[in-house]
Formats: sequence, C-alpha cells, structure tokens
Amino acid sequence: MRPGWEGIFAVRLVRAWVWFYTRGLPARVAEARRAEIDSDVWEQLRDASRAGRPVPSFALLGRFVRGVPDDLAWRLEREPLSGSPVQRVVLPVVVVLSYGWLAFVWMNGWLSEQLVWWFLLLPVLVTAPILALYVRRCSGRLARAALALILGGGVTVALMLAMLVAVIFLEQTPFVWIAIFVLLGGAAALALILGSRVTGVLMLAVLAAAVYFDSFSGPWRDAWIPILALLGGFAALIGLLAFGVANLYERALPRWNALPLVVAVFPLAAALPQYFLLFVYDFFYPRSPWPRLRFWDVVNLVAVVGFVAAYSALMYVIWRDTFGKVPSDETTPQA
Amino acid sequence: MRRKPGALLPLEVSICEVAIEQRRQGEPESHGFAIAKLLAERDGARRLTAHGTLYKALGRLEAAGLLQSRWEDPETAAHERRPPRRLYQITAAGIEAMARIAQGDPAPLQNDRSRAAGTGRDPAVGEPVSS
Repeated sequence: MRPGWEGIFAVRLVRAWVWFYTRGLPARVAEARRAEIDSDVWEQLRDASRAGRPVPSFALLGRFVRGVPDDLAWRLEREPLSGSPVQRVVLPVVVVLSYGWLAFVWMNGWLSEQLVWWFLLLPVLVTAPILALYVRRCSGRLARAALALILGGGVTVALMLAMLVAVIFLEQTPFVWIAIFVLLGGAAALALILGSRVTGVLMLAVLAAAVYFDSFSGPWRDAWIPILALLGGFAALIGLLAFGVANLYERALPRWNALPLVVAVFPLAAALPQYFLLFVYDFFYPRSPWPRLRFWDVVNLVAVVGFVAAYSALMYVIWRDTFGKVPSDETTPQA
Repeated sequence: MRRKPGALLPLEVSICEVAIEQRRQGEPESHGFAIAKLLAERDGARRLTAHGTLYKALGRLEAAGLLQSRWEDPETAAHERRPPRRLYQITAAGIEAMARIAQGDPAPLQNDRSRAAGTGRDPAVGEPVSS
C-alpha cells in the first residue's frame, strides 16, 4: 500500500524533526538515532500494510508530537550545556518567539490602536538586550560592524514595522521620533562601546542634527527627518542582510570597522531602490484603490520581507553557534 | 516523572518485562517498534509509545546495563528491503533487577550493581555491526 500525501507528509515531518534535533551531535550518535527512527517508522507502515489498515499518518504524527519533550531531553543529555542557559537555550528561543510575535502583530492590524503601540514596542524592548547578550558572546569572533548592525538592524526593522502600522492604522507618524532616538542613539552608543569613537561621534552628530532640525516647522520636519530615519534603517537592514548571508555561506565579514562607510554609502544605496519602487508604484497604480497604501508603506513592506529573511539567517547562525558543528571524523553505525 | 535514585520508571519496568517475556518465548531480540507494539498489546493501549519516550527509555536501560543492543547485519536488512534494525535484549542484570522489583525492592539500581554490569558502550549508538 502506497502512502497518500498525508502519509508522506507524516513520514517527512518525523524525519525532519529527527534530523533537526540530532543536528550538531557527533555523526555516529546522530546517524544511529536517525537510523533507529527510520526503522521504527518503516516497521509501523509495514505493520499497517500487512494488517490491511490505512497508512497510520495520524498515529505517526501522534508518536512524534508526544515524544518531542523526551527528544529534547535526550538531546540535552547527549550534549550538556556548557555555557549559560541564557546563552544556550533561552536566547534563541526568546528571539524566535519575539520576532514571531512581531510578525503576528504586523499581520493582525485589527488589534486596537492602544494595544498596537505597546505590542510593537515590546519586541524591541525584549530583543534588544537579548541581541546585546549575543553580540557580547560573539564579540571575539565577529567583526564589530557586523555586531553593531545586528543590533541596530534588529531594532530598526522592528521600529520600521511600528511606523508602518502607525501610518496605516493610526494615520500618524509618532514612531519616527522613536526611530531616530533608538536607532541612531543606540547605534552611536554601541559604536562607542565597541571602540569606534569616530563612528559614535558621527552618529551622535546625526542624532543631534535630527533633533535640531525637527524644531523647525516646514519641509525639514516632514521630509528630512523621516527620510533620515528610514535611510538609517535601511542601512542597518542591508548590513543585517549582508551579515546573515555571509554567515550562511560560512564567510566571516572583514575585521575592519566598516561602520563609517556603512553610514556614508548605504543610505545612498538604499535610496535608489526606494525611488525605483516609488516610480514603479506610481506608474502601475496612479489611482490606487487603496489610498492608505503610500510610498513609504510599500517601502516598509519590502523591509518586512528583508526582515524575515535576515532574521531567519540570524536564527540559523545562533542555532549553529549554540549547538556546534558535527565532527567530520565520526562514522555511522551502518558504515 | 521525577525519578527516585536507583528506581526505574514504569515504562522502563514494562520494557524489561516485555523483553523477558520475549526471551522466554525464544525471541530474545526485539527492535524498537516491536517493543512499542508489544507494550501496547500488553497494556491494552490504543496508542503506541512515542518515539522520543521509547528510545530515551531504551537508551537509559542500556546505559544502566539492563538491556543491550546491536545493529543487525546490513545485508539482512538489504535482503529484506527494509532499514536495518537495532535489536535489544535483556541482560542478566536486567533479569536480576526485575526479580528484585518483583520482591518489592523499589530501587533495584540503588547500589549501582546493575549499572556496574553495563557494557560501557555508548547507548545512543549501540554496538556497531560486526562484519
């Protein structure tokens, strides 16, 4: 009896889970576990087939789901935590949950206006210290610029999402101020902490300029400050993406402090696709049926996609760093 | 479930009892799914023991020296067109531990005698196939 799609799905899900929780273990241990579960699943399917029963998809899924806590406990027994539990387990879990929550909130704009404001700030408040912990842990191995961009990028993208919701659902832009202070101020502080005084002073100057110009009414307030904040956000986002992609391909970012260059060049690079998007949007949708969707909303939508991609990459890096790599000199039990 | 020092969990006791019963019937070695099925039949349960729960318990029993395992000959599995099985069987220490439980000893591993009788192999891997 050939399994249907649900049977194939169940088997693949079980195998994917086993592969997932055995990753990073010595190859011999991991392969033994995978081979044993493979054998078990195969025997269960054959047992049902011989008895003339349908493929036990739900039974397989049930055995998989009910065993997850023991699988995780087994994994932890195999590889005792060597560092702080916060670094090894809580950190990736909380980061994933926080940004999953952020994505959920972004997707559910029906939340009340009062709630939206706090719901969107909370991930920032939660993830900023967590990312800071991660940055501190990795500070000996990764480029300063990359570390700064992880933190700045994470906070920035969250704030850009907040602005998007503010524009669409609250029809106001109070979060621009938050973006300016948190992004630039935070990045400046981080740059100073990490030892790049020039970058820190430069970013503080930008922050001071933003505050100064905002005291005027007129085009400065409506144009330059949001643009400044968003360009800074895009700079951090692009750096974040570069960091994630570089790590995915096992390449370290250069160990020179690239932050001044990032500050100077990336906003320009980020502005080009923004104007391109504006052009495309105006060309195809001169009379948009959705008047609330404006240029910056489209830009922020692009940022959301980038955010998800970047943080997927970051989660991969955290997971890999947390559970280590598989030694290559091990053999499988069947070898 | 919290484990008392030297004690076995109910599932571990059940696995050992099933293994002893299989030994009595002349089939001393059983693979994981067979054990899960025997446990369900024995207890009249509709659901099989979860993967993670079963293999974690088997690993603990092997580490304690109450069970031992080996991977079957890959050629046998290839001949029958199925994945190779990891076969478990009860050890003398396992039989002794079950006898002590039957006599009312709630912690048959308390003095670590059974653990000392273990093979010292890595229970997560099992005995490699001998060619």
